[in-house]
Amino acid sequence: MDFQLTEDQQQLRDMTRRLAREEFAPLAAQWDQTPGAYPLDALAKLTELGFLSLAIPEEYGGVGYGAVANALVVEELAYASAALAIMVGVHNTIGAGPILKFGSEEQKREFLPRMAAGELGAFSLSEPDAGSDVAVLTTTARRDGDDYVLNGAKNWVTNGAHAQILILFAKTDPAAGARGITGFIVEAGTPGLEIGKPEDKMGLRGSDTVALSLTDVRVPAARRLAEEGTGMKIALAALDGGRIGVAAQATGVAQAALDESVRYARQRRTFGKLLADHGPLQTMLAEMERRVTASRLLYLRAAWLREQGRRFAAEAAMAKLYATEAATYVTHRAIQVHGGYGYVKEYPVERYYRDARVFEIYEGTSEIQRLVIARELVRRAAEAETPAASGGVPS
Amino acid sequence: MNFDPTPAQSRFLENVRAVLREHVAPHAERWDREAHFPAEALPAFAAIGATGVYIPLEHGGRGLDTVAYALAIEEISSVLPALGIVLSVNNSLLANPIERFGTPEQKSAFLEPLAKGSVLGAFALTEAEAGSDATRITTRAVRDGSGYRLDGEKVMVTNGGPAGLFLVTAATEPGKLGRGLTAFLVPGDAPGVKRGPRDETLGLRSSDVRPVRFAGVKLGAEHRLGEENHGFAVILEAINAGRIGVGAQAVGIARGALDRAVAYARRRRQFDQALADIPMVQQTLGTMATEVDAARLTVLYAAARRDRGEPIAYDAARAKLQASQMCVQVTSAAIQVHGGWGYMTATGVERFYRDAKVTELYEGASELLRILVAASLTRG
Repeated sequence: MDFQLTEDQQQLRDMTRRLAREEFAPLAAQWDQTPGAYPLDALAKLTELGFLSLAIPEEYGGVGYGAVANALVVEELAYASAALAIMVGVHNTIGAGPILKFGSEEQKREFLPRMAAGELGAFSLSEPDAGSDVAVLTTTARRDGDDYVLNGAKNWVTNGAHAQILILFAKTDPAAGARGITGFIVEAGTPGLEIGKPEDKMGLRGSDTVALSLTDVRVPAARRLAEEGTGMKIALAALDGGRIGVAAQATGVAQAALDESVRYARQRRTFGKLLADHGPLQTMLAEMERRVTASRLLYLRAAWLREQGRRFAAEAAMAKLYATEAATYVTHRAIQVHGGYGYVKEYPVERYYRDARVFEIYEGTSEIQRLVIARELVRRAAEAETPAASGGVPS
Repeated sequence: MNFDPTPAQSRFLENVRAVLREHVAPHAERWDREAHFPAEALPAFAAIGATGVYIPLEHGGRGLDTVAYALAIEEISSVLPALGIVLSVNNSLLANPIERFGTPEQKSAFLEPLAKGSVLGAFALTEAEAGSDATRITTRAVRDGSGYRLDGEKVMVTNGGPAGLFLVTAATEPGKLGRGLTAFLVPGDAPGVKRGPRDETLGLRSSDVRPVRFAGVKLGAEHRLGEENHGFAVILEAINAGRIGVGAQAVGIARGALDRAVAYARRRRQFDQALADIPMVQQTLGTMATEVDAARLTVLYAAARRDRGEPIAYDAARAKLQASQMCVQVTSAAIQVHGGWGYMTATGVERFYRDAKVTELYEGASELLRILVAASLTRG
């Protein structure tokens, strides 16, 4: 058992850390507080450095890093700005990811190099009345010659306002429930595709979240992902990977909140001593620290399993469940450590608190994660009873 | 990065499982009920090297590493948690500091029998008025010719009854608090070693805990472990590794409870469905499994750091803090999944709940560990 990063992973993490803390962190408050200010310059810089093609293999114009490196990058970016991290994370994991895993050779050759060059990706599954319950999607895709014609409404599309390439899910067989869902690659600017106004959100204000409306949007059949009816599988596989990213993002925000709290506790004096020397404050810091460390170990394990080509869905769910609840806890305590100062925007902890709140919701709520984990527990227990049981998960 | 155990660690774990199946599992519930110390199971653990997992081969140990030790203590504790602490004490609180601070003579006289399992060790630090504040120790070791005379009473000594060797911390310069403590190796049969009656405990009822009095015990200089007045370094070495052991024990206890909860949820039907298909129960199981894994990784992380020779005071403190809190929550939740049946001794899950509590207390109360973890941040 060995928890050490490889030299490559360490270098990438250190480089991302420098970039994030020196160049992006000073801008994060501005992205958060100025309506319509998105970190587009930062994205351009990240594109140039290869961060928008981390998971894309070299043959498709990417740099081809593994899941561990990808997650480390998300944590470091989130430390500076959770909004920037989710834009990059969505692009890499659930934007490029499904094309990489399920796309045809032609689709890979067409879209991956463009995404590596900075055309932003997005993922569009949710609808106004279909969140955790994906099977009830109502957006339809009707076959018409060499095209599909898409109609419906989508919600909560991260990157939607800036994305050129959307992975979008619709029903090709509305009567078939989850088995009637199909994935499509849809380009921004396609006639009939209307991008809504960015939502006014509690947190992650530097990233755009939009609704889409689709009116007779024609998508060539060549841009269908895999076979008809495989959309649910594609979406769930993408989200398994995405959950590692959200766990890493949550860890980054929690680490930032912890570090800010430590800094404050070492300078602020009450009752004749530093906050850091008061027992109740030490208790808070310790309870924050242990959660941050455990979050990181959990997401690294899930990423490592994924990189090894092993089953990782339950471990990704655990990482997301734990890390996002930890982020909620840690950012809440961070404000408590700061007292009144934590409530004003002069300090970054109130932003962390607002940003963290969505982590327990998007890419599968905590309740869905627990369900995924419980089912896997039962499956493994059943498997352990049969003599032919093999594999399983390292634990 | 590699989250799998090495082949050597896996093989050792297989040995541990085989011994548990044959010598412990069939009796675990009865031993708990009867507060029976599992002396008859110890030779089998000694035979596979579980009494000195990371002690080098040349000193009678198994020559593995701290990760193997943590995995073993976890596995053992998932079946009979009391046995987890019996062996953790022997490995980490006794064999470990002797390996680190002992002279070659002390290693052959004291370490080898411990590591080989022919002698069981006990760690005698706590006193009636010196718990978290170990500087308040009143047991005295007074120079006596070329050796020492030891006087005082220790309490809550795990393995106190069966131990053949005690590591006793005594004040050699009483005014100097922590800087006036010295560690001694006291054979169990030395004249003046008086074992008190066994304590009744909430949990870990199969472990033997009792007060031990040292009444004018004469010790040669060869019984002093480390330098005079450097006893605190010995305690820290012991306790840091010990906290990894207690963390692993807590993970094992919780896993034992979780496994039973999952099995019960699959079997038990209410409202025409298995509990495992009822959303509220699924939520509980999902949380339990996640907490167990989070703690498990924290413990193994500390163990792996120790194996790389890195300082582990903070990591071990964090590991035990994380695992012990998790353990109390998860064992409580396991009873909840069982409903009323969980409260009945017969289902075998309430004992894990009772066993869990002490992991938040011994080898550093959670309150003390939080101060340590915070110090890693604010003094860094």
